[in-house]
Parts: sequence; C-alpha cells; structure tokens
Amino acid sequence: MSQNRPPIGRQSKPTFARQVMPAVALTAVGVGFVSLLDGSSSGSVGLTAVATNPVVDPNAPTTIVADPNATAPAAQPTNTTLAPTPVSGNSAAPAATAAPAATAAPATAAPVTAAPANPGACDGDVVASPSAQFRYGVIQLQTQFTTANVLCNVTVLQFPNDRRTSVQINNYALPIYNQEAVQNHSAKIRAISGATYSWQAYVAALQAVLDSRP
Amino acid sequence: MPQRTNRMPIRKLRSPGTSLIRDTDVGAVIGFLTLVVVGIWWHHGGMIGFGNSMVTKMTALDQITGLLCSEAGLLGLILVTRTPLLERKYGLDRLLNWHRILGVAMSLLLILHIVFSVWAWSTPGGVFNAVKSLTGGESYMALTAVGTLIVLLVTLSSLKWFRNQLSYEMWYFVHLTVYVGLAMSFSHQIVLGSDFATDKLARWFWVGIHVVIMLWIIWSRWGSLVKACTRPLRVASVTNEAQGVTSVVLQGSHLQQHRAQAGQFYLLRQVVRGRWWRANPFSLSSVPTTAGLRFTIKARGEASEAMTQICVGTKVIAEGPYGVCTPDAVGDKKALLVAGGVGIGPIVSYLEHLKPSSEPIVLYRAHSNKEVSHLEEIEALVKERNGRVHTLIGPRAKLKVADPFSPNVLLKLIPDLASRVVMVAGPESMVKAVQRGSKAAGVPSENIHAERAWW
Repeated sequence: MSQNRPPIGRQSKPTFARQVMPAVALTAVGVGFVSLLDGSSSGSVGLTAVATNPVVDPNAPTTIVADPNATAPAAQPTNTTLAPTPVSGNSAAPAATAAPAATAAPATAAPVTAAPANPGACDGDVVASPSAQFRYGVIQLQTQFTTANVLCNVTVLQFPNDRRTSVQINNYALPIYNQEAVQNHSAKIRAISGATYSWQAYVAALQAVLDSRP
Repeated sequence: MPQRTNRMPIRKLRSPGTSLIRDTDVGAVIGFLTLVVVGIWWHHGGMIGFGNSMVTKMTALDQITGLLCSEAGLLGLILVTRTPLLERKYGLDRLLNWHRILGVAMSLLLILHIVFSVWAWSTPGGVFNAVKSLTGGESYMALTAVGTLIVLLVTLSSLKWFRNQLSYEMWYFVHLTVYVGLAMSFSHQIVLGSDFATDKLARWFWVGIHVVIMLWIIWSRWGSLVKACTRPLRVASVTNEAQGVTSVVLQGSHLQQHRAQAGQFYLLRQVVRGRWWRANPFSLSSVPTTAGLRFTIKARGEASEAMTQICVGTKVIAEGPYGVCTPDAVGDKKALLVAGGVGIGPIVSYLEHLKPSSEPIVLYRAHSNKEVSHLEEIEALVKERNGRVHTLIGPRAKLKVADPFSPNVLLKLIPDLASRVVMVAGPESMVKAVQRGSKAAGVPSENIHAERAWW
C-alpha cells in the first residue's frame, strides 16, 4: 500500500475553478433542496371538524382540512362546521368569529399603538382544532392566540386513552409537543421517538388551526 | 513471451484512460450528501430537541445517528460499484480499504442509533417495552431488527480477527447478505422515520438516492461481471519459470476491445467445477497486447496454487483491469524499480514500458535462487534502457547488510536516488521497508509508488 499514486494517464493540474465549481454547485443544490422541504406536514392523518362530526369512522379517515375562508368575515356565519371552532373570544362577540381579531391584528392596521393594551398577553381568541384521526385514535387541541394573533397556548382536549400504552405515551409526549408549539408559535414540532403517530396527528390538528387564522 | 497465434497484427492494448474525477469532486459529493442529510434533520427541527427534556434529546440523537449511519452505508455501496471513475483515480485496493472503514463507521453509528432509540422509547414504558416495540411492536420493526442484526454480523465477520477464522467462501456469502439486511432496514426509515414519513420531498429524495445507487451497483459491478462471463479468455500457455513460479498466458478473441496497461491486475476465476465463483487478483507480468495477457503466479495459497496447475485451454473469466500503479508515474524521470519475490511480475511489465531516458535500476530481492524468475528477460530490457540490475538473494540472516533498504545502503548503491521515481512491488513488509528507506534518503513521497504484490 502506498500513500501516493499516480492516476492512470496523467491528469493535468486542475484550475482553481475546476476544483471549486463542483463544491459550489452541489452546495447550492443542497441548500436549495433543504429549503424546499416541508417543515411540518400532515401526512396521512385525517382531520375531522368537531362541531358536526364528533364520531369518526376509523375505517374511512377523511382528509378534510380546515378551510381558511370559513373564518373570514365574508363567509356565511352559519358555515362554521369545517372551520376550527372558536370556543370563546374575550375581546369580541362569539358570533362575529374572527372579525374583530382581524381588524385588531397588527398585520392589517400596522403600527396601531392604541389598540390592545398588551399584545403579548395570552388573552386572545381560543380556538378548538379539528379532530385528527390516526391509527390509535383521535387527537384534538385547544389553542389560544394573543391579540397579535400569535399562538400562545395549546392544551389537549382529546387523545386516545383506550390502551394503557397510548395513555403512557401521550402523557409524556403531548406536554412536550404543547411546549414546543408554544415556544415556536407554529406547528414546527420535532417528533419524539415512540410517539410518531401522535406527533403526526398533533401537527395536523395544530396546522389546521394555524392555516385557518388570518 | 506470448505466443503469436493471432493473425491480427500484435499491438499494445489501449490504455484505460484518465479518470475525470478530482479529489475535490469526491469531497463535494460527500459534503453534498452530508449537507442534505443534516439539512433534512435540521429543517425538521432536529436542533429543537436539544432544548427540551431527555426524551427529545435522545430522539434528536437517534434520528441524526440513523441518518448518518445510512449515509455511511450509501457511500460504502458507491465504493463497491468499482466504478472506473473512482477506480482509475484511486485504485481498487484503496477503494476496498475505504469500504471497510465506512463499514465499521456505519456499524458504530448503528449501535449508537440503537442505544439512543431504546433510551428514547423507554421513557414512557420502560426498557422492556421499548425493546418490544422496536423488535416488532411497531410496524416494520421486526423486519428492521432482523436487517440490523444481519448488517452487524456482516461487519463483525469482516473484522480482522473474525475474518481470519472464517473460510473465504463463508465470509463471502455472509458478506453478500448485507444487501438483504440493508433492504430490510430501509422500510422503517420510510414508514417510521419522522424525517421521511411525512415529508414527501425528503422521502422521494431518500428513495431516489437508494434506487440510483442500487442501479449503479447492478450496472457497474454486476454488469462488468456479466460482460466478463460472456467473453471468457482461454489459457494459451503455461510456463514454469522457477520453483513454484508459473507464467500463464490468456488469450481471447475479444482482447482487442480490452483496455489495460502494464502494472495493472485482473481478478481471475477459472471456469472449473468448484472454483468458478471465486475470483483472485493476479498482476500482469508483461505489457498487455492483443496477443495475450501474461500473469506470473507464485504458488503461495490454495487459490494461487490451483492457478499454477491450470491446464492449457481452460476457460478463465477475467474481470478488470484494476490498479493505478502504472509506468505513467515515471514520466520523464529516472526510475528505481524494487521487486520482492513474485513482485517481479509487474516490474517486468513496467520495464517494457519505460523510455531509455529512464535508465532504470532494478533491485530484485528473493529468498533463494530457485525463486528467481524472468531474470534474463529483465537483463535484456534493462540493457536496452541503459540501466542495471542488482539482485539480493538469500534469506535475510545471510545478507551482507542487516537492512538492505536502509538509506545508507540505498544511497551507496544509487547515488542519484533522490531524483528518481521509486516503484515497489512485493510483500508488504518489504514495501514498507523500501518506502521508509527511500523517504529517508530524500525521495519525495509523491515519487514513491507501491502496490501490493497480488499473488
């Protein structure tokens, strides 16, 4: 064995560009690819709106994703079935759904300083997620937003509790998912080994709520 | 010399050509794969896990070790394609050595992956439940557990100590099962791996890269084997050169299409009952021409002994050529060629290629006069090129100097050693001694070239 060997036929000394180009090109491709990746995807989890369809047929998981238009003020006020259900809103009348929040949001009325006293406080809309149907049961979340429309609290309304293992797994995994969701203000949550299915359902439910927010 | 039975004019085979690959390209590809693999993990929030509880930490670690383990496996598979792109640049023995290193790295990462997985899964239900889930409780995990065992066993069987305990055929067939093991483990990455189970783009990338490498292996590795099988060579002559040293010349109607160069080696398998599946490396001992390929073989092991006893007319499947230690290395410089025992074979083929300006000096080391072969041939070739031959014959204890390859001895014999290109072929201990000695005598390391004497 040797440390140094000639190539068969002698290679000429490569130019600087020849040495650097492949690395630059491949790095660009790699970075481009990674940035195209989906950070959180609902995968094969079926979502079911809670209001009309609390009982779900496990053999036919539906894939109805919450329709963002349904929460817009222009939508028919009665058609809230497919949308995440607003449970209460302390700043507005419940019937008007998201309308007050939308006008108060900094996105539409940019530097409104007079609006809410404390946009960071967790006292905005409370929204229930659709139920996410997965292999071992259903996960449903309740989320709360600040008046600036930032996710600030998540609690679990429903999770599979018919098996002891499910209870065990979810008891330790779901609080961690809650914490990560609030920390990141998004559905970008890392799965925990052993709780991948719960994670998929959790992310699907949370994403549906976030998609429905203005 | 090869018999001139061909009616075609005899000419040298074409050179296998230069690889287009540069070191930086290899670095770029490894970097790209690592970037994408770590990027997938990172983008899916890999680092977030470190901020939280033990479970998320272990989960993050178990995912990244799993991904890197797969990457090491994929790179190891690329090496066994023996693709000419890499082989012509680095040489087969180096590729196989890197393959071994990657295999060990993969297994270490695999063990870490298992430890972290069990740790992460055991938090809610205890270690027993975790092991139960990971060996069959979860979908595809039973398959994966068996695949993992196979991969670990294959690595174990390739470690030096275990490898020495096993017969070649046992080791070989155990090693082949690694394809099965890898395929079985692949399922859980796609179904359970949170990086691929839910992200379509990442999943297609991952499946795609596995498919591409698999096709590459089939095309490059198995394809070249099939090609060699459909165009077997035949033994044209067998000559006894010295005690236990035999020259075998292979001919075939397809030789014109071969590309080979002096100093390279072939993997030969005799098409004889009980031997056809076993390939062994043998070095060319003359410049390959359309008249035939000559190999000089010393009976050292069971396989080489069988080769020295081969009958004229036997079919031989020749895969290759491989190896990058060729006379091109000498260029316009002067040369010192060192041969040990049967290492004389490749040295003869180098000599035929050298220009008169190289004034070659040949050092021929052998344990006894009976082992010496091709001496007249060498003397004639060296004379044509204004060089000289020194022989060092006898057991080590009887030599006049204790270390014939110490810098002092070498410099006394060859005053202009530092300006020469040194090429060595022979047993590993001698190769190392020559490398050490000539380096100490002032030969720059890029001018010292060596190849293991293949049989």
